[in-house]
Amino acid sequence: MTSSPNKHAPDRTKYILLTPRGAKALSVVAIGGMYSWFLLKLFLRSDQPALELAVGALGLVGVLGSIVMFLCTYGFVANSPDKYLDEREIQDRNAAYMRAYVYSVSMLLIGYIASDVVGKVYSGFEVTPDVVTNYLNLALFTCLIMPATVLAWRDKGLDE
Amino acid sequence: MVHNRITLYRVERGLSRKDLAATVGVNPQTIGFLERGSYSPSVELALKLSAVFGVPVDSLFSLTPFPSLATQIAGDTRQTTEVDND
Repeated sequence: MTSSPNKHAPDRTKYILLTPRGAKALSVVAIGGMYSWFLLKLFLRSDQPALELAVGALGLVGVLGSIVMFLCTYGFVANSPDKYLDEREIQDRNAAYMRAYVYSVSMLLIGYIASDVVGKVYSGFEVTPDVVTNYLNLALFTCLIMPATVLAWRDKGLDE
Repeated sequence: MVHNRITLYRVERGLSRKDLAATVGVNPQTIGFLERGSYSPSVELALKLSAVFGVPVDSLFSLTPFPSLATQIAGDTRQTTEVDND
């Protein structure tokens, strides 16, 4: 095991360099935007075009934030193979994936409970194909950036 | 927790974190984490670091805190004085 970022590793300066504080803020915007978009869309009626536009904008912010998060240096560490990372980064990445895995499974579980169990308990609750699609979008983008997000939140930062 | 004297040896040898990181093949940030005690190195990395500084591993890493330099200097001075008096 060890060390040694490979000499042929991709140039990290090509990735968006975010400070720990910046990455944490971005993750809140991205994940918050996605969740707000999904939850507000659940209660949105079709006769509210202005509100629909605002909620759509929230979703767009969430998606764009997720893309930036994916392309930042935390995203690089989260998604690189071992040979491009040193031993500390590998350890951090593995821990981040463990937490991201728990989050992903929780998303699936909540999705299952919401669609199946809640639908049976509350007769007024209907899971339409649109809701499922929106939920899948939410799960896709949040799961995609979860390892990088965990890395950013666990980074205590250094004075360099 | 593993205590270390990486900063001491690095500064004494005029190396930057970047230089040391390149020598042992890690990210410069990892040297920062090591120096701050936020990360404990693998055996391989510890051996590489001690080889770079040319010191035994146990003088670079310890499971107990190292005595401060001031305490050590004071101890050395006292010993030298005692030897001189004898």
